[in-house]
Amino acid sequence: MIKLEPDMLNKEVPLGEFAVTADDIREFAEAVGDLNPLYLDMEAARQEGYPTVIAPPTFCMHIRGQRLLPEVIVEPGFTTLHAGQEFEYYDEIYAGQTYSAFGKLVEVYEKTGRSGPLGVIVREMSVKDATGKTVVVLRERQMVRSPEKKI
Amino acid sequence: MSKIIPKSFDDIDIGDEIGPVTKVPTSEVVIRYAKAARITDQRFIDPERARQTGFSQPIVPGPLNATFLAQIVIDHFPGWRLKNFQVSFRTPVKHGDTLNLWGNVTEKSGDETDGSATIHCDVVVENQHGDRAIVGTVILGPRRRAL
Repeated sequence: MIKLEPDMLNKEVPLGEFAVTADDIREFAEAVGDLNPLYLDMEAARQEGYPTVIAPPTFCMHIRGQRLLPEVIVEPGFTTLHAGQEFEYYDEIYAGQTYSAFGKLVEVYEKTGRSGPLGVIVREMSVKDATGKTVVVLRERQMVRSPEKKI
Repeated sequence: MSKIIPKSFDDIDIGDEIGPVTKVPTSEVVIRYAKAARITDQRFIDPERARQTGFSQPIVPGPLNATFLAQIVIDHFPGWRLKNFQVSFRTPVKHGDTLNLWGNVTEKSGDETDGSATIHCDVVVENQHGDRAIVGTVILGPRRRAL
């Protein structure tokens, strides 16, 4: 069901650098209907002691995009589904800063569930600021299953 | 502009309720989110692609529903920030589902004066049929001011 090169586990892969602008943050906040002034209003952010607007907690999804890396080959006839996510926050993401992202495959396994065989893929993305300090870690759990079982 | 008044640690008790808040992720909301989150997977938008991947119709990306949860928690605790946020996606959410989001405080520890205060919460997203779409936990700490 899942094909994996054995040396891929826990190998950190650079995903690139990402400049975050106030417009990126505004686009994300407005798309999800979160009009917290800390995300939209420079003056409100400054009043709270921040140098500029900060990003909503799940903004790192904008950085992640479709970078489901490192890639794992799923055999034809199977499909993937988000099973869960974990976010660990160490600092805010600020407008005007450039961040680096790194991906890692943490765990891959197969098991038999109630509805038949399924696979689990756990990936991690770390977002670091320009000094190399980790700002947020996103851990995602994906389930691999047959698409025959309609949901 | 009115200054944000932080919620005092002393005013937060175990058992305090967050929400409920209702959200309806329509197709328009999903399309806007997919653009903002740079999602290209068409199963969230295209009915045919959704069927090919095992869904009877396009579904709402789980991270969008998680985003709604993070939002209601942040709104409920002004002056606090997320330290850890975990969710499990239990039931796919379809476009236009009516979601009820809520949570409650399960634990508090530490001290507000030295910045060690933490608040633990359980959070839930339930659809209009009473199915739990997401269950999760949140840990909050006081906002660290970047002065």
